[in-house]
Amino acid sequence: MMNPSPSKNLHERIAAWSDAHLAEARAFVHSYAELIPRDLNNAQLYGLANIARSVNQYANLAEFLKNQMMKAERAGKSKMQDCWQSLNTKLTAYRAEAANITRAAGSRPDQADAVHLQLVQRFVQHLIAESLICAKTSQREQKRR
Amino acid sequence: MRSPEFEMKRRRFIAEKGDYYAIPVQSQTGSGAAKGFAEELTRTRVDKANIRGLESLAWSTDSVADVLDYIRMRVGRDQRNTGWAQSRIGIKLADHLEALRKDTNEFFTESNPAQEDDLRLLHLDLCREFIKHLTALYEFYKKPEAYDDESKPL
Repeated sequence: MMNPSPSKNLHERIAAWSDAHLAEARAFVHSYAELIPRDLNNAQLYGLANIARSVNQYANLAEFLKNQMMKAERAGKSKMQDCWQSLNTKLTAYRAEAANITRAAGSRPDQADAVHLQLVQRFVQHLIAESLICAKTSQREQKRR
Repeated sequence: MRSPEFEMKRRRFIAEKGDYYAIPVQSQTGSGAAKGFAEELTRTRVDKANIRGLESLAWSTDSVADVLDYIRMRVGRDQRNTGWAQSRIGIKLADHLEALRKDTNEFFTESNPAQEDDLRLLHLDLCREFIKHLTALYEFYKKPEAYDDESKPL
């Protein structure tokens, strides 16, 4: 039988990474649950997802996150600033994992940045799903009161 | 690489689990869950396109998290609580699919994982099997005549 192509191998490894990081994304959303849905709303997370999908290098996404951080600082929203900052730290740290995945899949080392972006896209997708549930839950609780 | 025996055993395990998910048997606790969810979904505004969308996603993705995210996003977007969010049906379904991971232990207690990713891929296949039955049963119960025929004595 033929060996799986590097791209298939890469695809599977990214999927495995995504499954393994679901709990981490959920925990991240819950640690900033108080910001949902007022400060950390759908528009912001979908905006982040769009940027993650449209940029062609991670540095541009990091720039966007820094911008969001500065905007929150100017608005005096310290918790929001903290949220963007820790998201930036977290997403940037996935660089090493992207490099490992790229190497293990037998892909070219210069593909690591593209893999990094794919990991970030998956993580942001988990963030959106969990924040929507979080918003729903808080909406329900407010109605009950 | 997986041996043909392993592959055969794995396929049989998935098929057996499929029966367990689809057919309620009194002596087997938890059996027929897909049927239960399908019936409950027909009482919501979740439509065929949503269910088929879930099924296509399950067969096209390599990630269980994608399937769970799909359902949870639809719950979150259901503003009127008449579809995926009605009676927490979407959340319950996503939790149920996530918990199918436990079933993989049943298989791997006898057969050691051949690859590091085997457990995850078996979980994904169990989710696909569950959703396959859910889709078929949903379409069956969505048709009002199906109810009538079923309630008629043989």
